[in-house]
This record gives sequence, structure tokens and C-alpha cells, in this order.
Amino acid sequence: MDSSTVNDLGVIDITLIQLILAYVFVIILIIMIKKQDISREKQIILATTRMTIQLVLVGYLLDFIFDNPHPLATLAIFLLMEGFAVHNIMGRMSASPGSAMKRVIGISMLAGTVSSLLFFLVAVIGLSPWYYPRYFIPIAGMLVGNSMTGISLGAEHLVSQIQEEPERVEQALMLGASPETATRKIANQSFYNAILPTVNSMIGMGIIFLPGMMTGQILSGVSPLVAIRYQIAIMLGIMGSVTLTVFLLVKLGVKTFFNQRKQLKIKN
Amino acid sequence: MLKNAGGAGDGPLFLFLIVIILTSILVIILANILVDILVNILILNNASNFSVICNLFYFKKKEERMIDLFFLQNVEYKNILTVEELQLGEKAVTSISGPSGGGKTTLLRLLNNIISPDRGDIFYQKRRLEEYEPLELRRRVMMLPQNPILYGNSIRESFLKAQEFSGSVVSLTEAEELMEHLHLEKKMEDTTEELSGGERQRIALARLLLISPETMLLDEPTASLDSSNERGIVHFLADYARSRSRKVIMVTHAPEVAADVADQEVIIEDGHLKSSKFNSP
Repeated sequence: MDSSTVNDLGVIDITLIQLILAYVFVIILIIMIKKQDISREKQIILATTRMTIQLVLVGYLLDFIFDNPHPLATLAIFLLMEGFAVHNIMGRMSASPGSAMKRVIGISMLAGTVSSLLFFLVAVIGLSPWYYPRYFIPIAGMLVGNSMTGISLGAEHLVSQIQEEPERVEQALMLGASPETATRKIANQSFYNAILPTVNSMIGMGIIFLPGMMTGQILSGVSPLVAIRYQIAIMLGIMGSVTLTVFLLVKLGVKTFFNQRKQLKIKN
Repeated sequence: MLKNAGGAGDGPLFLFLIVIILTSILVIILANILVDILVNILILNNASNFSVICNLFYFKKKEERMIDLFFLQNVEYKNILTVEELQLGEKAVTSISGPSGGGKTTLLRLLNNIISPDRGDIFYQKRRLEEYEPLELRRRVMMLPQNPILYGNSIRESFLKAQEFSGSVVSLTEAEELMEHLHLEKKMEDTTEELSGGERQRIALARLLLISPETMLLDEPTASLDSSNERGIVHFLADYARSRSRKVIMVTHAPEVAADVADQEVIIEDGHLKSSKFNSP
């Protein structure tokens, strides 16, 4: 029913055969890579297959959940997203974080995204009921995804800098600096690194590229004027979520490197 | 006449005031001691401080035993350092020497509370290190490592970092004087990148002297200097410590230079205390 009205607005349905045609890109790419002896074709095939399977599954899952909205289902999906995001962050880090740092990553992700998501859904969009999956899930996805990237970058810098240059921190302690002061430079840089992609994407937005959500809305027939309102709101929401999660990560994360005697704990 | 009458009336009043003030002081002192005892025994569960307070009353008798700055007892750190008993820093200048890798730096790090011993106790001015708030302790006992980081692009910035870290206000005029004493012909605006190893070490030393904590732990502060410069700086350090009633404990690779000025000479070898002797003035 929904799709037929959208179709009246001039949206072109992609048939299965047309979709298969899009895979031509991948085939061309693989041939090129083979010729150049780059030997990364396995990864490309794996990525393409994963993307296809994951999206098909998500498509059916969302279709089902949108038709049968339930707060528990929405929450379950949200928690699943958070779980994957946290897992992804740990996987991406080059220096392995300690167990306390892992906990901090989880707590910061959850606390930062939940609070900014609730504010966004209830205050900005005025969603009712709050769990309405058609809005909740995609918006949560964007906030969690961007916060994940932010935390990844922030945690990576924080952990690697302290582990690579413990003398910088220790020598400040020797001169009477508190752990916060001794790590201030590293913490600030971690925070900056983490929010930089979001800030940069806001600067280029609309000129260098059209953001994904706005493009999607326009393609599905929504007026660009409505689409930009959503895009502006969601960008600010993303900014809020990223800033909050990374702020928590840095504040709490720094503490995990020190013991009660305010000594730097370094794993040997 | 009026004056006289006033004088006669003021006499008892004045006496009364003095009695009140003296009583207040006495009450405050007693209350302090009482609170100290209660806090130490009830909250920190630590009787040693109580004995310290009691010792105050027999100060004369115990004087000789209580003047040590640091006291180490059965201290063990990994397989690097084992010290059964050591009194350190009773007088202004203490030198610690011995072959490299013997545990000298570890000893300084323990005293600075950058690391804690696996076993045993370290006392600073009669209190266990653990009883101090770590930050307060490190602001009283600061350490200069062997390869100091200057933090800051210019010499001025490096000095200002000292202020940020230590929380004490530093004077840049005094910093310039210290640089002169340490034979550093540099300007505040000079960048730290171009400094040689020895210059860096002296800037860091000047920075520490500028903060002027009560105890300074120096890890080979003259390692990158030639012997004539080294002698001059060691003598300057000793004069500085004596004139300002500061304590200097320095690890040195050249005990013969330190011997000129050291009040106590400690030798550490293979993670063990080999000897500790006090030089008469």
C-alpha cells in the first residue's frame, strides 16, 4: 500500500534484474585487481557478499518490525546495534585495551547514545510512541554508527599514546601533576581526533556531497525542503551523540590508566 | 586622670584577653592532636601515627632516631631492588652511586611514589608513603628523570609547564637567574628542539629548582656534562639546597664529584644496598 503511493510520486522501483546489473561494478573491479596482481579479490567478494546478505536480512526484519511495532523488539534491535558497535570498536583497535577500558567503551557508547537518542526522538522529532520503529531504528543506527567511529578514533589515540609514551605522562606526575593534568594533551587530542570526521562532514555537506539520509529521502519522493530539515536535525543529533560519547570515553578512559596511588599502570 | 582611670580598668581586661587567647591556642592544639589520633586510629586504622604524636612529648630523647627524611624497611621491588633498612637524606645532600642497572633509578621512583614496593615500607618524614595523598607527596618530593621531557616548544613554555604541573607559581625572572647559574646561555624564546642533551637536562633542572620542592630526587642530573661543568653544577646544587633548607638526593655516575659535597653517600649494587656512610661536615 505504502509503495504504491510512493510510486505515484515518481519513484522508480528497481527490479531484481536491474539490481543484478549493479553487480557488474564488482566484476569489473575484480578483473582489474586480478590483472594488477593486487590479490585483494577475496576481501572484495567477501565484503560484497556480506553487504548483500546483511541488507536482505535487515530488509525483511525491518519490514516485519515496522508492521508489528513493539517496544521490546525496538529495544532488542537497539541493543544488538550497540553490541555490534562495541565489538567493532574493540576489533579495530591496534593496541588491545585493558578490561577496564573495554568497560569504559561500553558504558560511554550506551550512556552517550541513549541520552542523545531519547532527547532527539522525544524533544526534536516529538515521536509518539517513543519506540515507533520506522523512526527509532534508522535514527538510532545513525547515532550509534557515528558514535562508534568517534569512539574508535578517540580510544585508539588515547590507548596508543599512553602506551607508546608512558614517560610523557609519568614525568608530568613526577613534577606533581594530577593524572588529569598529566594526560590533558593526549585526552584533548583524542577528543579532537574523534569529532573531526563529524565536523568535516558537516563542513562539506551539501556542497561536496549530499548526505545519505537526505539522498534516500529525495529518491523516495520526499521534498528536498523536508529532507534538509531532517538532515540538519540528524546532523546536530549525530554531533551531540558523538561529542557526548567521546567526552565520556576520554574522561573515564583516562582514569583507567591510573591506580589509587595515582601511579600510571602499564601492562608489561 | 582619665588616662589613669582607663589604665586601671584596662589592666584586668588585658590579662583576661591574654588568658583567653592562650586557652584558645591550647584548646586548638589539643583538639588537633585528638582529631589526629581519632582519625588515625579509627579511620585509617594506623597506630604508627599515634606513636608519632606521642613521641612529640619525648622529642628530645628520640631526636637522633627521628631526623631521617626517608626510611626504608624491608623494601622489595620485583627482582630489581631489595633494601632491608636504609636511612636517607638526613642532611642536605645525599649521593647514590653504583654500577648501572643496579636499581638506583628504581629507588628514586619508589621514593617519588611513581611505583610502590611489592613488600616493605617507605617512610617520608615519619609517615608511610601510602598515608600521604599521592599528589601532595609528589609536590613535596619531586623527581628529575635522566632524560627529561621539556613539554613546550620554547624554554619559556617549559618553565610555565612547571607551574601547570606543580600548581605553584613560578617567576620567569628567577628562571633566568637559574639558567645563568647553570651556565645556560639561552633566551626564554629559544625553541627547545635545538637544545643539546646537556642543555635539556639543565633546563629541566632549572625548572625543578624553580618549583623548589622540599625534597628533590635527581637522576644523574649531570650525565651529559663535561667534568668541569659537572663539578660546578654539583656545587651549585649543594649550595642551593643548604641555603634554602632543601634536601637533594641524587643518583650520580661520578661519585668522586659528589663526594665533595655529599653529606651521605649511598652505594647500590645489583639491587642491594652495599654501603651507606655519613660524611662529617
